[in-house]
Amino acid sequence: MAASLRVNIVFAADFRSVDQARGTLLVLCRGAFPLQQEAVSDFCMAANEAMNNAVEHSGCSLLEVELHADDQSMTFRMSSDGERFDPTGSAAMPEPDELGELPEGGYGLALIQEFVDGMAYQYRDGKNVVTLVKNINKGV
Amino acid sequence: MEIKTEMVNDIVVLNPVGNLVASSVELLKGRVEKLIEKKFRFVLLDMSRIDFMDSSGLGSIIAANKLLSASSGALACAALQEGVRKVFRVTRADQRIALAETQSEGLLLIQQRMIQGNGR
Repeated sequence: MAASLRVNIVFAADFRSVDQARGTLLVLCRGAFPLQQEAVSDFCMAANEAMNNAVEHSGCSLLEVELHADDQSMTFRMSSDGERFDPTGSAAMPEPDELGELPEGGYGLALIQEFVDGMAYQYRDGKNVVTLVKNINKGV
Repeated sequence: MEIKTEMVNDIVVLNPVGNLVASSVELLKGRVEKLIEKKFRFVLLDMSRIDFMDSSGLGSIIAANKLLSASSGALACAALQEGVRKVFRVTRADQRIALAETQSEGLLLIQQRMIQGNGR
């Protein structure tokens, strides 16, 4: 990409708004990195899970999302009010139970950690701030 | 997301269109619950027009699979796009839920389960 990209989106904390935000991120990232579609797809999947987690677990009312992209990486930073919620702890992929049945939930954090290269969390001024970074492999 | 339904050789083929995500998962689970109420136990989910699936979407497929298995039925998913297939692979759900490359292969897979007498 020739220049860096920086976009801010603020939206109500509900799943439909998350859908719209994810769609916007996908369009912007695909446009910025047309040759790195898998990295873009992974990045947007992780961002989607982070936004879903905020809506589902923190009881927030608003989400503020910042996308920054340059030649090296894509960065997603999300600020949300609501309960403190740290998604950076160890999150193993859920295992089947003793009957061999998979659990229906609990995959979100593990998927985030699988799909991005860096993840950070801060609780700042009463807000959860989650940062996800996906490196761009220019050789691909 | 919307879900179109058709019958092929006593198998219900569900054709969801759009994104299988947190905002739409109740639709799939609700549709499968209604099918079971009406005694339809063998379901193929044609995912060729699912562009994006998140962990909630995966959870709804796992839930549908459990419901159908508990009713001595079966579920298979067919024609996954690469991003959707990756979610199955990374979560290892592909080891527990029957996947097929095409709708035709998925129908064959379910017919084999029908011949075996149940979904297991």
